[in-house]
Amino acid sequence: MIEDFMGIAFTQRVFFSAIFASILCGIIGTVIVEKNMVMVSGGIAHMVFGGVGLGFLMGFEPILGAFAFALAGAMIMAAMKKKDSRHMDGTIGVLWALGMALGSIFIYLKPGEPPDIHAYLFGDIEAVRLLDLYPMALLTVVTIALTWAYMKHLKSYLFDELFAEATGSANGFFDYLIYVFVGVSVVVLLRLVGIILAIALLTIPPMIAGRFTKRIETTMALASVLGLVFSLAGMFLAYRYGLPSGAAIILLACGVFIATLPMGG
Amino acid sequence: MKIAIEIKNLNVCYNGNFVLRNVNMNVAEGEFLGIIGPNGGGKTTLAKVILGIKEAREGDVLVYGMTPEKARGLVGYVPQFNTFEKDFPISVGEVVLTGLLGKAKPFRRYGKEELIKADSIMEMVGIMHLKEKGVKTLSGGETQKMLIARALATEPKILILDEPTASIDTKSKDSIYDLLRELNKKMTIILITHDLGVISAYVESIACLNVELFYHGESEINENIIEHTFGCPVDLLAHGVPHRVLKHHKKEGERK
Repeated sequence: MIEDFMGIAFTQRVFFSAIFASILCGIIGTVIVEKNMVMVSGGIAHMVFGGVGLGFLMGFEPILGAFAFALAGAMIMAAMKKKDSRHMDGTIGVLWALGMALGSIFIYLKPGEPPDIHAYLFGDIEAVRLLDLYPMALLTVVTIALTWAYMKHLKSYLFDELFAEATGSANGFFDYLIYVFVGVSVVVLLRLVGIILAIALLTIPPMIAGRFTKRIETTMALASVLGLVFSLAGMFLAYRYGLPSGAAIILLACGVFIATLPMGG
Repeated sequence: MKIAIEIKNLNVCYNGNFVLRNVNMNVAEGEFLGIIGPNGGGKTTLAKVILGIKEAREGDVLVYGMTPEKARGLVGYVPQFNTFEKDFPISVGEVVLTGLLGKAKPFRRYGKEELIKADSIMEMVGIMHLKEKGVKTLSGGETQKMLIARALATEPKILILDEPTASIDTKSKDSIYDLLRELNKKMTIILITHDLGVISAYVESIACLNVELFYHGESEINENIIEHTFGCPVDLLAHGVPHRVLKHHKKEGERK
C-alpha cells in the first residue's frame, strides 16, 4: 500500500536513508548523551543553518553549505573545549544564534522568490527524495568502522577523559573527531527531521536504550534500532495523515521515551 | 637518595591568572607526600603538570630526569571523584583494563597476559569480586579502589591520587590508606587531600600549596604554616575543632 503511494524507488530511498541516519544517530547520539554534549551538538546543528542560507544566496547546494558550516562549528567547539574556556556554555549560545541569524540574513538577501526553509528547519519527507544515498552510506560505514576499531579507547575516553589523555590512549584528536562526527550526523539528519529536531533524534534513542542496556555497545545497537523504528513509523504516519514528517518522527520518539520512563534501570 | 620528581621555578597560568607561582620542589623516590591547600590552590594543576597533560608556562618539571610527556608511563593517576562519568555503562574489569590500553591503536585486543595481570591487580586491591559489576553500582570506597587498580595497571613508579577519600566513609578511608601504605613500599606516592587528619597518620612529608609552595618537609607542621597556606585560621577549616590533629600521630577519632 505504501508502495502505491510513494513509488518503489522512493520507498527504498526512504528506507535506506532511515537505516543510515539511525545507525549514525545510535552511535554518535550515544556518545553525545554519555558525554553530556547536547548543548554543543545543538550549537553545531544551528550553525548549520548559516551554511544552508549561504548556499541559497550564492546558488550552490545548501547541503554543501551546511556541511562546511558543520565542520567549522565542530572545529570551533573542539578548540574552545581544549582552551578550557570557562564560558563555553555561553559561547555556544552565541554561535547557536549566530548561525541562525546568518542563515536568515543570507536567505533574506537572496533575490527573487524566497526558498522553502521550513524543510531545513523541521525536515520534509519530500526532501528525502533528493537525498544522495552514497555519501550517507559512506559516512555510515566510516562511522561504524572507526567506532569498532577504537571501541576500547572510546570507552576509556568516555568514562574518564583525563585518564585517557594522561595514559595517551586518547588525546585532543578524539575531541575533534567526535565533534566532526556530530556535525556530520546533523547534516545527514537535515533532510529527515531538520535542524531543530536533529538533536532530538540524536539523543532520544540512546536515552531510551541506555535504560535497558549495560554495555555501551548494546546501547549503540539498541539506539540504532529504535531510531530506525521511529523514523520509519514516523514517516509512515506522516504520509498516511499528511503530517510533517520530522515532527511525526520526534513526537513518536518522545512518546516512547515518556512511556518507557518507569521501565528499566 | 634518588629524585623522582624535580620541579624548578614552575609557573602555570589559567586565563591570565597564576595558578602556580614559582614552585620549587623535589620529591624523593619512595616518598609518601601529602599535598594540602585550599580549593583553587593549584593542587590538581600541579598533578596535571606532573602527568604531562597541562603545560608549564615557565620552569622545569622533570620526572626521573625526563619531561612529563616522555615520562607518562611512569606516573599513575587516580582522579578526583567528579572528573569521570560515574553513570557510564562499563564494568569494573573493563575499567581496570583501560589502564593497560596505552596509545590509540586500531582493533586493540587485550592479550591473555594482560587479562591475568588485570585480575591479579584486582585481587591485590580487593575488588576481584566486583569484576563483572557495573561501575554505577559501586560504593564510593569500591570506586576508589577500582580507580587505584586502573592506575596500578599502568605499572607506575609514581602514584598521584587527587582527593581519593573525599566522599567515602571512615572505614573505607582506612582501608584505602592501608592499601596506599602497602603500595608505598614499591612506589612513590603523592596524595592530594583535604583530610588533614590523615596527614599525620600516614604521610611522611607534606607540601602546603596555595598558588605558591609554602612548605615542604616533615609532616609535623605548626598552625602558622597551615594558616599561611590557607590564608585563614585553621579552625575554620576543621569546623571549629582545634588542630591538634597535626601534632599527634593518631589514625582516627580526632575530627569527630
